[in-house]
Amino acid sequence: MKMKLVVVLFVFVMFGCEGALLNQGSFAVDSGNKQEKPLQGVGVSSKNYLGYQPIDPIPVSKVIAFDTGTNNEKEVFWQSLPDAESIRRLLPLQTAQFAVRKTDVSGQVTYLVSSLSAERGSYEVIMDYMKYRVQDAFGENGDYIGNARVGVGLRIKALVVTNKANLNLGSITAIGLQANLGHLSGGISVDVVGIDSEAVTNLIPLTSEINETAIQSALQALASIKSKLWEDDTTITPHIIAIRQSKPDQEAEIRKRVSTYMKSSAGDVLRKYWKPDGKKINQGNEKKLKEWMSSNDLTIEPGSITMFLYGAEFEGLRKKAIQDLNLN
Amino acid sequence: MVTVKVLEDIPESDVDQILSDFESEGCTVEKKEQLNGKFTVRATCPDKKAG
Repeated sequence: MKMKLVVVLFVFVMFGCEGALLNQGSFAVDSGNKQEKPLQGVGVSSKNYLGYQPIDPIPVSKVIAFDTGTNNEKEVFWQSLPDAESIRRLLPLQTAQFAVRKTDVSGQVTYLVSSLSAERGSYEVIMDYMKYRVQDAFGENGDYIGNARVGVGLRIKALVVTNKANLNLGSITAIGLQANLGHLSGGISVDVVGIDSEAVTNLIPLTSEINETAIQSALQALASIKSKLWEDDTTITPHIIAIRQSKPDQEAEIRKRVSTYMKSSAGDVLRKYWKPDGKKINQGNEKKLKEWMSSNDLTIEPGSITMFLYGAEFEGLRKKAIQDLNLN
Repeated sequence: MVTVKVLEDIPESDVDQILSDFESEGCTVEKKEQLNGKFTVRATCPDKKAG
């Protein structure tokens, strides 16, 4: 009798556990109507996500390198390094990574910790190849808050809308298959970050609607571009490509742009163009300045003009802007 | 989402102009004196300008 009771309890506990696991992490099939219930609790908001987060590339001007003259590490401008090989040597790590994130109607971004889509909706699937170095980030009090991956890379981004729940979004090829089956629709884009040459430009595929053929073409093109990374005529320009927080809500702090102030006559000329009376922005001139900045691969979000006017690393570009905008 | 921008080593004579320039781009700013007497300006800027 005691034996039977133990067996009954064992079965009850096991099924009870399984039920609990199904509710938390897997999809369940309702035995009554055979409908799939969406997954629950498989996403983490980007604010709280402590894993790798791909971000839009942010230019970085300096790197810490070993100086053989002083036998010490010192901060140098990436642009001051003599050739592509010197830059490549400072990017010793390589990885291929995958991230799936969901954006809801309020703009809240959630990272999926499972490769299965929990429910119908809009997803961004990102596959990255990166050659990079890790740059630790510290908060204002000197505490470690995470790190940024600084380097160059290739990124395939698929923006998809799923028509049913529990689809496998675990790889780019799986997405192509799901698209061919009509379970999702969307488009793919290919980003080449910081790897530039005429041959690379010719290899970049155009963005396209998602299907297996388009994805195969994109993968083939990226394999060819990856091989160009080692050619002598390829320009290497490192950017921050991804971040990892060590505690929640540190993204802005890790992404922060730090620049050294530089007083320059070129900066003064550009500021007079932007604010002719020293106080009020001339909107027409600001528009032209931002267009110029954008066409010269500079960011134009709020704060960028001020950084451009005073940051030491922009002096060469400030002089170019004066020439291009005929402000001499 | 916001982006933090930091300018270091600003002489006192120029710091107010930089604060005003960041503010006119929609950023909120704070300044902090460095040990060498120069200033660091920290601007917290929205990713896109409102309005």
